[in-house]
Amino acid sequence: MQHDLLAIIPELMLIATALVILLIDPLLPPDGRRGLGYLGVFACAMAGLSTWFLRNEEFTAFNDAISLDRYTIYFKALFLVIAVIAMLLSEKHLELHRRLLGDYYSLILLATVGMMVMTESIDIMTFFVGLELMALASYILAGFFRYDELSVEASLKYFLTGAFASTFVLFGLALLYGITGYTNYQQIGETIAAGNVPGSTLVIAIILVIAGFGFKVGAVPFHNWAPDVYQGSPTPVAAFLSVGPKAAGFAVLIKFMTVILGSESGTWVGLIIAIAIVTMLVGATMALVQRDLKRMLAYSSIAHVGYLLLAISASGEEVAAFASASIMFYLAAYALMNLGAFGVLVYLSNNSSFGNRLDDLAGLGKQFPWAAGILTVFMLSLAGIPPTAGFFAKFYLFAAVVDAGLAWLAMVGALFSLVSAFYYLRVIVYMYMRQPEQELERSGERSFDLNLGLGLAAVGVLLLGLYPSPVLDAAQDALLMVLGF
Amino acid sequence: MTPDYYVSYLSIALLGLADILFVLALIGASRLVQRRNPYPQKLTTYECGIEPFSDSWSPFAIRYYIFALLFVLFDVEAVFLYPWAVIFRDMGFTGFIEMMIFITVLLFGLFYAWIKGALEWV
Repeated sequence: MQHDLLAIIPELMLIATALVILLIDPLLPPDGRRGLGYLGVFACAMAGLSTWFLRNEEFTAFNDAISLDRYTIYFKALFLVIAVIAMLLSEKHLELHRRLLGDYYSLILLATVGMMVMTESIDIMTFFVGLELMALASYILAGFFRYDELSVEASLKYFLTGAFASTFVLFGLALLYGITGYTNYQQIGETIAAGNVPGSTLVIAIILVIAGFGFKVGAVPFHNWAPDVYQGSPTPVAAFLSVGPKAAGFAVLIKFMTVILGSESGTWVGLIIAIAIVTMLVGATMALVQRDLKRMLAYSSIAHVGYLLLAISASGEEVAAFASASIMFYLAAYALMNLGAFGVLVYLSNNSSFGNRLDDLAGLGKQFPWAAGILTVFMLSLAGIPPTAGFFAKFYLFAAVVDAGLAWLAMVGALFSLVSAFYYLRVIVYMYMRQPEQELERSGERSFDLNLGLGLAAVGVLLLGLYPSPVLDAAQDALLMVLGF
Repeated sequence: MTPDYYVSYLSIALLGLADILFVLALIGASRLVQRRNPYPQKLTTYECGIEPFSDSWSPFAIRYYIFALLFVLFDVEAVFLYPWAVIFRDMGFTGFIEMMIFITVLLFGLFYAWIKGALEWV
């Protein structure tokens, strides 16, 4: 009994804090709400501390519904970092739009709990509950500026496509349960490996699950919601949505593809490779023509999903451990750089939509050298240029794909990566080499939180770029202990 | 798995087919034997004998949705309380504590709605 609760101490902390914030928020005067963000960050820090103490534990809890192990711990830590940075980025933006409410922080915390439950579950039912917790919280977050038409539209689009995707996943899971009779990942995997299931139903289940995950992580042809949602939702929320649910989706996808469907890799590798190539193609080419920075980042994140899917296709091979570790490292690097890139947009924005267009960046290098410098770091990292985290992330990812004997696929990936460098570098060109058309008027208001959040992301990107081994080792450790590679 | 796996769905398919035929047969039979005597009053709304005085598609206060949401709160609570009540003796004190925690979390929701003014009728 105590053992069970021990496994979910970080989640319990976040849930308790989310409830407390909800309760005290309406009682506070409007300007007293600034502290709530710090309360959320504090809760995440405490949860991180308890995660640190649990790092050497390895057991399953709640009748094999969830498992606590290095793999889970790695992702829990990543989600906490994402939540902290997202909350730090939010306050100024919410205040500018007069929507500084405690609900926002509660929803971020609950979405984080959902991502954690998704990752730690080893039972398809528990996984689905976690998925829905994360998804419901993010639908509301996308529409948090409810007096802004675009935000409401983003929320509605996200809800409709997300609910649709959830039914796909659910139907796929139901079929898996139907043909195997188990809800536990391990047992489903063993039953499938024993070859005792109707093949056609299994193929349908695999396609449904992949389609559902494709929607959730934004892979082509299920990506159409992403640009509209990122553009419409509040910028800090877009930052959170572009990394959190994706990291959680891939955390589960790795488990699914290795533990449940590992024996069936012949069926799905081709499908994943096809999706990966189309995803990279659409992401890289569509990002070229975007003038809106949030849309550009949305397509860029689609391209990144394509790279990650390449490595998923490699995880059906014998070098699966390296491939999965490279995905885990990539997700950490991607989370930091994408949060940072969106964070700079938050920094530039005032209460209109200024700062979201490429042209708004003209002359930024002179006027805000710090913001421009930091955005340069994130753009270089997204493009995969050393000495940033993005370089090593891509390096390991493509190395894993080559090791899996898919060298041609790595070439394709590198090619699209080259294309993508163009639109990242274009941002830098605009900042330093273009003159602004008129005198710029940006909100000069300084915010300690925002600077701290941006600083954390930038330092993280540079640290991972200069000294990647601790995180990479942690990822490999996690896989050795857990998935039995 | 054996072909039986799919054969076992055959009965459901047959039942579905029979249903469709049955309904079609009934509608067809009623078509054949009915008398037709249409007049406008047959199209008016039946309002327990009172003459309808306006369109029934009139707008009503959207605020009702808040009560619908709050209703879900208690609905979910009841759904979980029933099975708990059935095995209350077996669960013992631990079960009691767990249920109290669950209800407390729901109460948080109710208080939140209350403080936010969702229960006020504006």
